[in-house]
Amino acid sequence: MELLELKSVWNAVLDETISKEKVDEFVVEKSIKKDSKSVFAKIKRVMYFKFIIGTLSLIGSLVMLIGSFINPEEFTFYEIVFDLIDNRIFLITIIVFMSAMLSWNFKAFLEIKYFETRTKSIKKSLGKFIDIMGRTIKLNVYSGTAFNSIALGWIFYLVNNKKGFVEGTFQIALVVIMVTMVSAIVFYYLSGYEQKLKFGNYLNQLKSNLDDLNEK
Amino acid sequence: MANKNLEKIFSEKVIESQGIIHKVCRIYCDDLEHRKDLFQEILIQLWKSFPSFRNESKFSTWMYRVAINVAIQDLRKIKKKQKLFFQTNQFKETSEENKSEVQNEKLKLMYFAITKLNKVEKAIVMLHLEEKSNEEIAEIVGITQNYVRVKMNRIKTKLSETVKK
Repeated sequence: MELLELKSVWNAVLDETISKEKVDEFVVEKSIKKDSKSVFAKIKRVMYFKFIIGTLSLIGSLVMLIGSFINPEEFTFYEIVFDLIDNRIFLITIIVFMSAMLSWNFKAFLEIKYFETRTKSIKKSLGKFIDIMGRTIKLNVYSGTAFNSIALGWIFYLVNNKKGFVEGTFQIALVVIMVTMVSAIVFYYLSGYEQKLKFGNYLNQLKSNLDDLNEK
Repeated sequence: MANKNLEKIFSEKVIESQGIIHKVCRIYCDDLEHRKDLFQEILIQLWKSFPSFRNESKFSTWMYRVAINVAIQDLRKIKKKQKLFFQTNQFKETSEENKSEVQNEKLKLMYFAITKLNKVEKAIVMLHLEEKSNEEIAEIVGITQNYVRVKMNRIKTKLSETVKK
């Protein structure tokens, strides 16, 4: 009985809404050209930015690395604190990191794009959405951690070369590795916390919705 | 040219069935601005997935799926001061015409109870109010028909309990 009553009001409210908010073809055609504000659209926009920065850094580093073999004097930077070998190791680090970041991001990007163009039932779609979101968050955490800790390791190496806090190749390597590892742990938790603040409640709510669809 | 044609076919089909989008927007948001945003987001998502629509299901089933998925995955936070849609003038005008004060109060409560349902329950109750068969609800939501019945019973109990409180 209650639902029947509700239905009559629901129909009345809908009739009113549709008559007031009805759209024409012009509105539809204009709307589909606008930028989406969905979570995945926002994530994709960040990915575009990462693709540009990553590709430019990768190309720049490749050119510098090849150049360092052809004309070492022209392609060595920070000569005061970096020797030729340091330079090459630094460039290889950037190339490896950027290649990994670009390929992971590209894979995630394709997965999101595929998800957006395929329509599944609410349950399947919700499951897939949570899965992709979870992996994208992990990707953000891991790439942020790797980037920041490697950068800190190199900054420490550079400062040490200038100021000479630690001496001896083995000792320097050990301290750089320690700095990188400690900062990796710190950045891992910081990035994780940041992502949790950003998407934690949202993801939990979606998970509870999905859980509600599992037969008990 | 091909894209323009596709755009035309798409907008014609959407115009024809736009009621579905309005229904989904209405059950999920009361705030007009939020509703407009959601409407647009659903249109964008329908357009993105339109090329992959293969007539394997009814166009309306496909539209419901896309629209509800977008609404469920919507991240926007609902403003705390937002009016519940049973409180809007629109509702009052409609109900005042037909219902007595007592009935009106009861229905306000029922609507209030709907706002207390989670996003998935709202989808199921909306499809039920649209008189969709359990088979079609099961197809849209992706659960068994038996579970649709179970869910509906639980929703009815939840609605009644909220109203009683």
